[in-house]
Amino acid sequence: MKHNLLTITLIGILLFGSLVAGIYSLASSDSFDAEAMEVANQLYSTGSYAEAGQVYEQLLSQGMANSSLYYNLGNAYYAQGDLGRAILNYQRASRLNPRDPQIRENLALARTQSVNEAAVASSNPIQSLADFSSSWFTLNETALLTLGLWFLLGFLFIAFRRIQPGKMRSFTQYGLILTALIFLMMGISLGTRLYTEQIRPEAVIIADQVTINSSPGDEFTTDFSLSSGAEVEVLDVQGSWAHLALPNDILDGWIPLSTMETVSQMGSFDKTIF
Amino acid sequence: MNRKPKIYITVLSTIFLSLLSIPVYAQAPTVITAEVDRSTLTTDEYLILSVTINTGSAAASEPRLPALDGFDIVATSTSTQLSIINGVVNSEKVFHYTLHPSAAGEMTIGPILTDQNGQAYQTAPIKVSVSQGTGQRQSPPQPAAPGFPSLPSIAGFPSLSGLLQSFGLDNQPDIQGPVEPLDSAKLPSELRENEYLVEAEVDNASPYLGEQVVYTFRYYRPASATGRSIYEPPEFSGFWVHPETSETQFGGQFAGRKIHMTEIQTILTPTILGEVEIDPAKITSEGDIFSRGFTIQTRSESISVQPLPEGAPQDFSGAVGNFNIAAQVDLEQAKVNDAVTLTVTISGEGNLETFTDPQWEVRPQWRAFDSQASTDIQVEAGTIIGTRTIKQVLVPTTDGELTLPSIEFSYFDPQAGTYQTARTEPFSIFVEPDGQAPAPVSIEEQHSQAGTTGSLLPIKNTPDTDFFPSSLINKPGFWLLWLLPVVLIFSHFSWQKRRENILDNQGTRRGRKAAKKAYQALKKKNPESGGYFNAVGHILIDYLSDKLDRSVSGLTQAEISGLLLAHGVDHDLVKQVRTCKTISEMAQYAPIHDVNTGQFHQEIKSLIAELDKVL
Repeated sequence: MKHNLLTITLIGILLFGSLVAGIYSLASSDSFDAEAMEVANQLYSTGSYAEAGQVYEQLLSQGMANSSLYYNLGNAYYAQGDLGRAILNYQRASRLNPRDPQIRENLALARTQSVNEAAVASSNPIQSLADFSSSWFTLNETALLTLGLWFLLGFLFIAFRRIQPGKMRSFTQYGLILTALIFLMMGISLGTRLYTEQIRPEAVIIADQVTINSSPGDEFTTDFSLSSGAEVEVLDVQGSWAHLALPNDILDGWIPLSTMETVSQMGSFDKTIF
Repeated sequence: MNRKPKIYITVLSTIFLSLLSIPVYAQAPTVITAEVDRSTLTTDEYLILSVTINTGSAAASEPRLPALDGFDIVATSTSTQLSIINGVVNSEKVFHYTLHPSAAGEMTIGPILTDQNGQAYQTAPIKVSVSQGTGQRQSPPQPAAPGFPSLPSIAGFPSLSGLLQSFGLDNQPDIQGPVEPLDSAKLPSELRENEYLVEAEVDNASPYLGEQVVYTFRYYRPASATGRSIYEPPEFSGFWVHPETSETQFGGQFAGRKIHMTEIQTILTPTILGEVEIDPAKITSEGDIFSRGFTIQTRSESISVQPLPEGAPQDFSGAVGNFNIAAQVDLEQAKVNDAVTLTVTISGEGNLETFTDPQWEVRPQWRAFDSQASTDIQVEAGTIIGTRTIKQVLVPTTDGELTLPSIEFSYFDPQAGTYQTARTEPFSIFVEPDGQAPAPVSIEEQHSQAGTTGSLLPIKNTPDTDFFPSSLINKPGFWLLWLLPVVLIFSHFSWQKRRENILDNQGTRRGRKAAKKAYQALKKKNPESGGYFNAVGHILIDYLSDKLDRSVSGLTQAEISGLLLAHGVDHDLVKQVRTCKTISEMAQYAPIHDVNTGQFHQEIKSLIAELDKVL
């Protein structure tokens, strides 16, 4: 018995120690140009919103992705009346820091200013799970939680096999089942978010107004149009045209690529391609 | 009845019916005819072939043309004539074909066929004589104008034209909006012979590279023309094209006719040197319910783009035109780390949209951020005029009187034919030593703002801490970590299984260690000590017991030999075992002097090694 407990403890230390070491090795801390951010903030506070936005954009283009930067840039665009880019940057800030109340408030405010109809919550339970996850955890956090649960699952499985029948083993068994259930939910949430990011990335209309075409080409116009700030999903790209759909597939059509930008900058529709 | 009256009645009836049919035959028109507007022409000229189909009241079907060898069809159109004679409506449709001869010689236009009312009709062949021209191709003559057919008036009845006009179906002008008066003195002479005409020209046939060129397209047509006309501009390969064109409508009288003219101007900037050809521009008229449409085009235009002269200033960045430059800053006094916005404005006329922005030196006392540029332009009299504004944020890093040096902008003036350089005045900005960042807004203030006014929450003064600023899932190491629990579980259970196998088989375990145990025992025994041979015999017996997984100490030599043979040990080895055992047993009873102990020691070790290979 003692020997078993010792072995289990050693396995646990080895397993979780490897996990922590692995995560630390993956973590990177990019140097942040706080001074430049102060300059931009100063420009913003004196009303030079365009110049402030210019500096924020430059910092972001140098790879300093930070939720505060995106948030401030969103404010700069909002102050200039550019709702589309304001919502876009608030969304990006929210991706990096979904629990921040300031980001939530300003995003909600910008959405109320937008003339487009608000998106209806998904009735699909899997998508609802992913939406709930994305409103509380970043993608990185979700991935780490899922990985941690996977390690816990492995540890509990080994412990369950080594422990002799008794109370301890029953306790371990229940823990194993519970962990498996939570892991399944987190895994589905992570998988859905990754799938959505790759297959149906979210985008925001940044042009003042864009007509939705039934096919890629200027001659296929319809009576439907979208205003700046409309939040859409990109289904496909052909040449200089993007096939988009409104959330829950209420409507779909084609618009010029230059009239929209994707929220995620890890997908294949990165703004630098435009 | 007599036969003679019958004959008379028959003959008279035949004559009467024949006489009745004469008016019918007399009134039956020719179904299809073809004619050309000239029988001799050169390869520079065009021929109009008109095919007239008279269908009575039936609709006319398309005539079938023969193979027009030696001719190319340039344009087609149709027109319809209606007539009412003795209450009978007669429709006559004319198909016009504009032909251009591709070679000189005697040409024949073969019979043209049509099917009407189930009967086939054809025209007579037409001979045309084509002589070689000079190569200066003329503008094609215009086919018959589309629009409503000419409608004759009938005595006692209101004119059909009047009736159609009362229903608003008369000829509507195709121009909407204001119309400028036409200067008939400037109209091309070809307009006298042609109702429809297109022409194009450029204002400068030999511009410099980067110098603006205005391409003007003009479309002349009767004021009564109806139907939609579509302008197809040339490709303009080798030019940068200003996206907006200007369109002006003109109207007036010429050669006794009311005509309309549309003028479209496009501003081009040549981007390649040498001879550059502009393809023909086209007008396609879609026609209307009575007539088919047509397409006419201009000639190609050739432009010779000149290179800019040598001796360009070092900072020249491709600007061609006439420009001024000005600069200003939003602060003349600042503190260290304050943001100062430098605005540079370039104004004038020229290729504002295509030249590269000027660069200027930023001295070490300043920290500069990327500049942003915007252009505000308008077109006046075919020239692009406007301003290009470049804004740059600068931050002073030291205190004192800092200078922003003069900014130079070089351009080529095509009117003067020389390079010019415009420059701004230098700026001095007094920078105070203590520059502090603005105080951050407190959390309470932020929440109160959101709760009461609903206005935008302020910016964040400090960056958030992101432990994983970049995406984890893009890193291969993250996905490798997922394998760790799997590898550990697999290794753990493999090791456990192996251990169980070993523990379950003690005999195997003992056998594996037997040789090692025997060597260690032999090592401890001194060959010169007393009782050596006896001890070695016991070592050998213990070894055999461990290897065979049974005790052999009580067995006879023969039984041991039998066991060994059964386990595959060869006879020589068995004999050696017997010899060693015999020497060992004899040593119990009497000392042995004729055996070399050292050699015996080695032989025992070799014997154990050989037995270990087999057992």
